[in-house]
Amino acid sequence: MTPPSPVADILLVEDNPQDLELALRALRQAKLTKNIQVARDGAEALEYVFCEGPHTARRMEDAPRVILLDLKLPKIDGLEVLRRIKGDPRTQMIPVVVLTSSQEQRDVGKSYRLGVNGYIVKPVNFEQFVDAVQKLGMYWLLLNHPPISKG
Amino acid sequence: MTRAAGLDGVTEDLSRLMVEAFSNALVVADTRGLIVRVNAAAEHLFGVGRAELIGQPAELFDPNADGSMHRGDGSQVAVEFRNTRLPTPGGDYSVRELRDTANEKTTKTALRESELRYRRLFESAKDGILILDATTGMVVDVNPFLTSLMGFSHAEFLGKAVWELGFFRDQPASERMFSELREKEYMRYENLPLENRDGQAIEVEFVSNVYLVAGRKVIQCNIRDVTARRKTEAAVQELNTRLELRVAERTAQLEAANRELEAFSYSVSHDLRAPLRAMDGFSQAVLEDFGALLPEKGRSYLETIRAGSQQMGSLIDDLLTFSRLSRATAKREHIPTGDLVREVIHILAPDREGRRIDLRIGDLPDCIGDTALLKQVWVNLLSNALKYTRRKDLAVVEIGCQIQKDEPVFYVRDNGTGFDMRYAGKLFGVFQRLHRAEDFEGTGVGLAIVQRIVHRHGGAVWANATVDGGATFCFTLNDSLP
Repeated sequence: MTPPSPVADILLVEDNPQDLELALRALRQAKLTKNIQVARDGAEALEYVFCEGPHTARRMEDAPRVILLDLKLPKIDGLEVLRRIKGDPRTQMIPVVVLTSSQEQRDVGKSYRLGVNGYIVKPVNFEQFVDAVQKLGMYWLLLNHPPISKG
Repeated sequence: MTRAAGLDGVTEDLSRLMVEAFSNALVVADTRGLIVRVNAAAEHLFGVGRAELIGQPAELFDPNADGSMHRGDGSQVAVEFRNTRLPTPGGDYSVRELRDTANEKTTKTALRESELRYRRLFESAKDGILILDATTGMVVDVNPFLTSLMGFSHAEFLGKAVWELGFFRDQPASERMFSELREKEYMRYENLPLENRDGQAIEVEFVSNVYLVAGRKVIQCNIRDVTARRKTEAAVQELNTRLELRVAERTAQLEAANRELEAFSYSVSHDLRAPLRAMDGFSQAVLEDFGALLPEKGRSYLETIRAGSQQMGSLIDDLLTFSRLSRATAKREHIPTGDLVREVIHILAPDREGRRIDLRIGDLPDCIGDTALLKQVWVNLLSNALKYTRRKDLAVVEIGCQIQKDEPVFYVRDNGTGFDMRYAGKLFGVFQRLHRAEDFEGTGVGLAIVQRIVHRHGGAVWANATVDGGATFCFTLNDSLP
């Protein structure tokens, strides 16, 4: 029997290992690494959110406080992941923030139409990147009042 | 005299009327041969009024041996002449009757000439002409053009009913056509398929009318060979179709190229920045985690790696902005220029921090254009002005507008480093820089972006400067945006 998946505060969906490591480093510096679930592609992200595959033991109610979602992902891309999460009444209240390299107006527009809660362009500059990730973590984990209070 | 005198009077009047109405000239002479009476035709023929003719010798009207007589004015006229004796109790009167034959000859000749002309027209026409008897449908005449077009001789045409002529592909149909024509008296076919003697298809335009000739109904058919025209039309049609296909093909290619370009810049935007972030991020991580273990030189190298990756990040961003400009369509909005400029100055607050800057804003008329794009123009021009005045104790940046040739010219003037006008041509090129990176940082895309936006608004942009004497950048916007 698989052990129940941990209840995550942040679901970080990122396929690029360097970006992933830098993001984790930034979160670690902000001491926010305690409950982070990482998904390496869109399919993994959806399995986690919808408690499928390796996550069947997880309860839907234990939703992450925020999902940080890259757009360019293998298998299922970020916009599709966003569409499915926001299109399902069980998951549509989970805050999703797009964290991407793309500044394309097309991606920004589509994301907002799909109901994204925030859109952050990853800066090339590491200090700015750290700053952005830390602010994001702080805001969604500490400042923002979540839609579902955890018991 | 038992005869009623009244009747005599009437007879006299009647004969006078008849004589006057007679188209031949009549000249009556008495026993002495002197003219006592002429009619209007005689006056006309001789060219002299009757008052003068009466009492003159009637021999005036006698023709010469060649059959012509002298008219009053000496000219000659050919006549037919008859002299009749009119016996009276007092002796023989004479009646000369003359007919102007010259006139008659002219009419005949004219008629012959006209007949010849029309015959020639008929013979040489470049359209086929077929004349039919409307009652029987028999061919009365056919012109050479039609005989050679169809390959049947004149004799083969004559005396045949029109539907018996071999060239109508559909005989019953042509018989129906004939009866329809007789009824309607006019028919027109844009495109009638015929077949010549060799079985070759000929397309003709066929027009026929019915008209009367000396009380007999005749049908005239005009037949124009349109085979060549139809072929040309078909060729033109085919060319058009091919052209349309080619245009569609090219459009598709262009669209594909555009999509590829979009995919390319998307890829650049997304994929090229990730490795740069890794270079910068891990250099920083090394500095943070192992900085103490590195000699000063090692730390400096890592800083250089970071600076390089950050510079490349800016280059990519600017290049993307630049390429996006060629794809985006410019909107037409009413823009309060003054408000836009003040907003831009507010955005550039970080560039102004800790500096003494005399910022002068003149009157700026409203304009028409794309707010987001024009904002970029002002951002680039003003940040340049701030950048290149950095070494001045007091930077002076002047923003204004002048009317030149009825056109508003916006300008940004500074008292900064300026540049050498010899290199002005390079100013608006992509990645072109007139200053060294260690003096003034930059990617060399800012002014290229300005130029592209201004051009997209149908305007022009130019600059004036002297080395260390400041620079002025001017631009216009065409109100009638494309």
